[in-house]
Amino acid sequence: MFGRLVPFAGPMTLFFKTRQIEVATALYGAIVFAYVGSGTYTSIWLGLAVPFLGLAAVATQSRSVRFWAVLGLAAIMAGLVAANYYISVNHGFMLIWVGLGLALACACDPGRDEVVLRRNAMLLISLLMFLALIQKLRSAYYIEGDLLGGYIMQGGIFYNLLGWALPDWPGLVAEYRGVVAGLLEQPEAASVAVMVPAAVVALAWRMTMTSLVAQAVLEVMILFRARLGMVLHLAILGFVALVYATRNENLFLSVNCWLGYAMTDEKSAAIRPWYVVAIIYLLTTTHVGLRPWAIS
Amino acid sequence: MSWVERFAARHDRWASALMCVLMVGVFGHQFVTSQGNVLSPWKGGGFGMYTQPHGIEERAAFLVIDGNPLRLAPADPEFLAWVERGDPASAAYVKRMMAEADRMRSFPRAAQAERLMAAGSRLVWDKALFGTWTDVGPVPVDQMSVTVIEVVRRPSTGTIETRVVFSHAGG
Repeated sequence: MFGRLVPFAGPMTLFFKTRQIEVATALYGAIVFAYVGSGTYTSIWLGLAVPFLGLAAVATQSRSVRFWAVLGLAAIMAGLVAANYYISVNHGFMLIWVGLGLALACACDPGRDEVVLRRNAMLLISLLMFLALIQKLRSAYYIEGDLLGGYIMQGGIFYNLLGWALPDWPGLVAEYRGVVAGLLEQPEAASVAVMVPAAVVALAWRMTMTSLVAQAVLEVMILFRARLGMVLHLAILGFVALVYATRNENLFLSVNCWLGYAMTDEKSAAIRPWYVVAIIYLLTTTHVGLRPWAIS
Repeated sequence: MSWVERFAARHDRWASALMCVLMVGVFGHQFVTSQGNVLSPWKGGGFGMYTQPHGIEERAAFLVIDGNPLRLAPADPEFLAWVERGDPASAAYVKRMMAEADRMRSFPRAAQAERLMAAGSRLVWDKALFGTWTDVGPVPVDQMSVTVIEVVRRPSTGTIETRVVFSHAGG
């Protein structure tokens, strides 16, 4: 399908569909490169090693070289995260586990490697969704919709669209931001009343419930992955699109897409190019700072 | 082929299990450590992102000098301008303090606060920084404290609150 839509992409599509380990390795290298290039709590010296290790991992014909090169990329992530343990973003940790899962697959015999890759990706995405769901369910702050409501009021979610729907939305957001900035100037507990439209509270609560249900449904779908086949992958891409529409978390989402790609088997190989396109889109747009107007 | 590769290839199920144990171990450590919200659930690899106010952007770290709060992270703009007017070595010294304060936001601990106050006690403070300042010069550690606050947005109740997540007095 992808090849027909973009005819010149035929050989690329074939590569994405048939060389799962090599493509997964290249994509992992690209995501790690994007992470070290993001400039937040990273090291330029360790970052310099990433393209070389990534190239070695993709270009080599030796299983051993690929194993150690991927493990090297995971070790770079581990080093960066360890040096900034309590300030690193969560997908920094996730990239260590993904690298480990990929390296373990690379160590296996041809044929077995793809089986191990699928299993490791399934375990990682299951744990990711499950642990994140536990954390959300134990947070009254999240369940009540205050977290997403706060982002909406700060102008961080659907700012442009809400400008059409709500009167004086830019003014409300500016006032809200001013109150937050003022509260951050004093080292003491305080409370300030602010104007919050009822529509924002309702929207935040609905978005919160949607997010919880989506995560729970995805977790259940992963359990029934053998029966669901392509439907599961469409659900993963749908989840990525849902999160993308609300928050700028492209690196985290590209990790999700990587896990989806790595979980595909022969029956769902047709979806592989779409995962690749999604990762390239997410990494490119985050690098150039592009975000569609409708969801900004 | 090294023993690591042999293990991964021959015992791939055990290797996968080990990967999960590591991941869940880091989660468990973070889950326990973040109880009480001093360590922000966003940080520490425990998948608690988007459950509480952001562990860095929604927090501020203050060095309170003889009752006068000085926001080091995010740096108070006036203070930053004052720092940058100074000589480069002094500016670098204060920026290291700011970096320490920045790292305190997501998980403030007593040892970091002690280091910050010790560094602050070696500086000569300019009274122009504080309207209520009554003296000029070094301030002993026992007249300092470090506080980290967090902004809690509550649209459901129409309020924005701040809460103190960490406070440590010198001396």
